Amino acid sequence: MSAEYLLPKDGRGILRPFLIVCEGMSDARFVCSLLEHKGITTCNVGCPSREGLGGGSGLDAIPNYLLGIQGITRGKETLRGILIMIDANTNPTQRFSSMKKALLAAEFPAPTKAFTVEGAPFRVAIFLIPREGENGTLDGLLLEAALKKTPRMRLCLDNFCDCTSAVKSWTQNQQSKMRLSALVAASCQNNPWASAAIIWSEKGNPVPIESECFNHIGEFLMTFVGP
Amino acid sequence: MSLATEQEYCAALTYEERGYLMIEKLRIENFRCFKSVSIEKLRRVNIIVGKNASGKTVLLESIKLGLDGLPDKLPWLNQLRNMPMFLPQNPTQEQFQSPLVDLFHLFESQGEIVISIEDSQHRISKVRVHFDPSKATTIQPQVGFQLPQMVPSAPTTTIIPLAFDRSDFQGRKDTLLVTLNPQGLLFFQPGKPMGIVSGLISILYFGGPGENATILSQLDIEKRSEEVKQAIRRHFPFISDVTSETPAPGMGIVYADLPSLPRKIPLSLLSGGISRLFTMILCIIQYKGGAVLVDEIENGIYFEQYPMVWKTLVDLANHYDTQLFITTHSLECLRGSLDTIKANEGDFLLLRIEKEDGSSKITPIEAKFIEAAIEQGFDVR
Repeated sequence: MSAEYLLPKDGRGILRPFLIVCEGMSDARFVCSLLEHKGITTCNVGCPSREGLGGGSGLDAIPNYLLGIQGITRGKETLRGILIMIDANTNPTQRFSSMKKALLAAEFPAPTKAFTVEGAPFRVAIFLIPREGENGTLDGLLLEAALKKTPRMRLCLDNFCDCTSAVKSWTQNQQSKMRLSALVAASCQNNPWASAAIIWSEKGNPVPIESECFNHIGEFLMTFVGP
Repeated sequence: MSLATEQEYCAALTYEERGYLMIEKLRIENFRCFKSVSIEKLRRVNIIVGKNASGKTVLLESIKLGLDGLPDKLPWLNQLRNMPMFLPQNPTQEQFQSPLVDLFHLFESQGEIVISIEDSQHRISKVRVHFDPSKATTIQPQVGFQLPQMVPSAPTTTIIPLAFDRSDFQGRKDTLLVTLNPQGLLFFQPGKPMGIVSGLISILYFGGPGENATILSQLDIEKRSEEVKQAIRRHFPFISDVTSETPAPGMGIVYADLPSLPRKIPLSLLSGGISRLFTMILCIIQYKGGAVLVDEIENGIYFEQYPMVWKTLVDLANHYDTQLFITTHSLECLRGSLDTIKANEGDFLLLRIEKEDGSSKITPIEAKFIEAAIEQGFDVR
């Protein structure tokens, strides 16, 4: 069960040597599923969430989340590396810089560039989704994987977008999110309102975790946890 | 740079700019579950967490022992753990040592316990506790209340006393002993404490009989009791006043005045939790410039009070330069400290104690990390 990868908040502390920090639960669940698919068992996955006392959620809360990781008192000596995996969005350079700064502020080492695993014995890395040299988001990548599996849906989604007057003016990222949501809603009969955070356990999930669209992320994860 | 509020000003103070700390560094060697630990940069408020039997209370005991350096505190410490220090009259050396070896790590009484404390002015106080053969005394055993000369044929016993070699912050040195008196009973040589430290405020002890009343009377005389009364009223608006009364000769008791009641009521009868909080507040003022030790702060305090309790204690501790060492098992209580930690980040340190292979180790964690961990919903205990 991929949820077992999630970093527990209940006092068990850090249980696995590597931590992957994501922006939110949708991204975290995707990484959990990919880790499970790849058979990688040495990682915990975590993200800021609203469960705490005002720590915030999303990308802006990652600096606070990293500080919080230093505040986990149990099992801290287990931790051997941190990988931050976030959307590149429209400015990967700026996103890398802000995450590097956040790592340093939380007194972790920081990598000198994205997409490289640096540091010994403590490893750090920052991976910007979708891949090196590209802007974009995880939603875009998930959509890419879903459409690769069922290409005929691309035209349907395009038509759907054409039918709505407002969507055309949305950003590429917003459109990707809308298209993915529409595809999920049309695929998951038992839970048409399933979000990207829970599609991995939904019957009819249109995004195949085994998609070659995720191979480069899988390979990076293997490198990160490798010897 | 202008600082808008006092709170912001306090938060902006560097570690060195803060007031006097009696314990800035603490080193413990060979005491109970601690083989060897050293903690630096202790703060105004030091919160101690860890599992049962990890050594939280022992850390408080070591501070008590290190700052008092008094042999007669040993039975008191044992009593707090519901473990009386009992010896038969005219004990053998083995019997004499028996309740004292518990003090030594892994009961290895041939070693020595060292508790060394450095204050924020870099002065060092140190107590070294060891069985000292050079101070061995020979005791003529006695039976009942007979004088020694009445049992001339009884064999003598040689007792190797437990020595407390002390060196205080001013560099003054002396040695106090735990030995036997001529009647063959345990004798704790009295002396002056080396530093300023409260008793260990716990669920079993929150001010001895009359102790709180005496302190409150003293503060009243010095016109300093209003701060205590205000704090109690702030937390418990149904109490209009707390006073020290003498219902019988020689019996001082703290009473609470509740407008809803026709007569005053002893505070300890009103509520154990209020009584404990009252003791903490009194101790912070009474042990000004020293250390106040609180075991399991959450006991008896309603959860809604936690944020205000932390604020009250920290404000007073900062005002009186008193250091707090507080253990807790309660996540709710720790979460209740969040606002006070945020306003006084440089004043907090979390000490997590874990036991490994029979010895306890202490990991200090900075307030900024604890603050974020609480905000992110992590369990920081």
